[in-house]
Amino acid sequence: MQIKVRILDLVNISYHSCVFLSMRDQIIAHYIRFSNKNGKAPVSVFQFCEDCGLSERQFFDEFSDFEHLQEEILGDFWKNTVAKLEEQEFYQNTNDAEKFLAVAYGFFENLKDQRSFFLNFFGNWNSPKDLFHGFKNFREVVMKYIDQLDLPSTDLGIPQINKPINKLNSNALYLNLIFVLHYWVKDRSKGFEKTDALIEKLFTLSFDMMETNSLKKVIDLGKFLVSDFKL
Amino acid sequence: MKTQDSIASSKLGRAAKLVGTGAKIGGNYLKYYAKKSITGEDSKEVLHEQNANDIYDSLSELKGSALKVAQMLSMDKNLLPRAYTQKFALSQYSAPPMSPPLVMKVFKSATGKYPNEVFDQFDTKSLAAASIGQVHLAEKDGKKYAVKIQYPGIADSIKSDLKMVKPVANAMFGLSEKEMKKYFEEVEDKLIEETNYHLELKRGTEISQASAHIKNIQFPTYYPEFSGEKVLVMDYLEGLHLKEFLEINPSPETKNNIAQTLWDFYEYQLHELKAIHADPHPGNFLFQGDRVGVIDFGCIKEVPEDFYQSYFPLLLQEVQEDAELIHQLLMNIEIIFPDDSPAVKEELTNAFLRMTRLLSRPFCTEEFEFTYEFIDEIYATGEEIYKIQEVKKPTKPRGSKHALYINRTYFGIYSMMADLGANIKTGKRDWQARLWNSISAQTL
Repeated sequence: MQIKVRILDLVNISYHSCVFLSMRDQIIAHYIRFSNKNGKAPVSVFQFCEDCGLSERQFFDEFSDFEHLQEEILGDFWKNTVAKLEEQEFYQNTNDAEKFLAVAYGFFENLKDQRSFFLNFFGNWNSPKDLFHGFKNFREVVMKYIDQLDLPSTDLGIPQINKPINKLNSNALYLNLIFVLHYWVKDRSKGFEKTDALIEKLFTLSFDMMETNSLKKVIDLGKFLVSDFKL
Repeated sequence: MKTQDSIASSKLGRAAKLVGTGAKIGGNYLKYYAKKSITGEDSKEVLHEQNANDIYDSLSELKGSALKVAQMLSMDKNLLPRAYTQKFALSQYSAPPMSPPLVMKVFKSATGKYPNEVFDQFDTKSLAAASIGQVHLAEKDGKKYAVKIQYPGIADSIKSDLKMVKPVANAMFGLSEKEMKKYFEEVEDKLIEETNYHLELKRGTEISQASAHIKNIQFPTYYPEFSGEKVLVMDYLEGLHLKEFLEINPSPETKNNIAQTLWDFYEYQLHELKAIHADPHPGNFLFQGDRVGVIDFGCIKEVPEDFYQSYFPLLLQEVQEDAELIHQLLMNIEIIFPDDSPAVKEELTNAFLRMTRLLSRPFCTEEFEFTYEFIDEIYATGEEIYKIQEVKKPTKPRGSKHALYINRTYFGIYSMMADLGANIKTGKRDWQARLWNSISAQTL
């Protein structure tokens, strides 16, 4: 699923020729390039701005700090994946649970193009818990997407409880996504096919569990994790 | 490194099942020795039956590659009675079906396009589960295609499945892991090969082109331009699987024609191409009228020439009467070894010859009728041979690894022939004279 993301195009084009890009996108492109070239993120905004010939004001007009910028990058990958998929006929005609799955596959497929950058980027995050608490903006982007979907809902027969439970379900989807992100960083399989297998097992299970409990898939996921992590 | 035991006991699910079998078999032995010590009566028969039952019970709950391995190894050793083996043949790999977005993703990763960009129609619901993926129906310009999509990460899961079945298989044959190694390697190599669709496309194309002259046979054309490592696009073949086909009561002529086509196809592969479609699972053949469609070239066994020259002469009547020659051939195919005692050598040679005379019956006459009685006789003989100490509890691994897939293939063909009640032309083929000539030339 080679969905072209704007950022990716930019990174490959030299900064000065990208005058048609917004300042925000130029900064992002330069940030990715800087990180890849130096093998690590810039230490200070001052250093970064000097390197790309910007003023600090220009940077701070767009971003509060590097962390903010990083989250915006993740959010962009998500939004661009959705935008590209929305052009696809199968995406338009499928149910919302499958839409989410398609976006998840597309998102990780796109991350591949900038894996070096993201490995650097996620290097500081040691556990899914760190990641989960780490990206408030990215989380907002994903949650906004999830909320407009009509996903399978849990009906416990008590309207007052259904709402918080289903809110919990959306949160669980985000948490699972972070879990996959964490897995992807450590994934060494060819073409990251194990990440695909994980997405499949994890999210189809999540959706099934939202509706009913599906023991078969729990076991299937369990087997996969057990064999993979040599528990 | 973890030991076999810790792998078996730490992997939940399937592994627990296998450990359970081990315990049960142990329990059966305990019962047997307890009974023997009290009554002095030897009820080994019952013991074997109980063991076979317990092995079957737990293996039947295994899925995927573990099942395949267990099935193959037990077929080879005639360990499981016919009823069980038949049930085995029906079991299929059953991973949960892939979600449509995953199917789309795998297709796009392999080909660079979404299925609906390539085909006019693409059914996201799968037509059937293949052993390591699933098959989807597609249509373009009014023509139907079968699209095989592989489950991501399947190669790794095969490896972990095999690790789990190893301890049980070792226990079943009473051999150590080291001694079983050559067989496991053969099976693992073949299973991993099945995950390589590039290879399947190449071999499928080669074998179908080479065998196209065989009467009434049909192969799908493969389309490399739409295929990739995990996606294989071929013609969709119409037709029924053997069981359903027999239910519509085809005429005896039709059944014989079909059987003849299958027989000729396998004879040609084995003796001319020296590479066979080694997965004669009923699901891999589609019948329509007198026509036989052959699909799935994932499992191809290439027969090495030196093995061929030692194994197949044993099927010739002339050879079966030449004790010295037999001795040499059995050494070549690792049934007997130079350091075996004369008694063991004799016992094994007799057992092997007995089985071979039976199995080679179709080759020794011009025509042969495959009946269930014939199949039952093979089983009964197999079970009797299994009683021989050196077969049941071998002191060393016996039998060439190459025989594994060839035996399995013949096993599959013979049972299909019996299901068809086939009366066909089987014997006096060119290869028999050719082999005999080359053997006589060597011994002169």
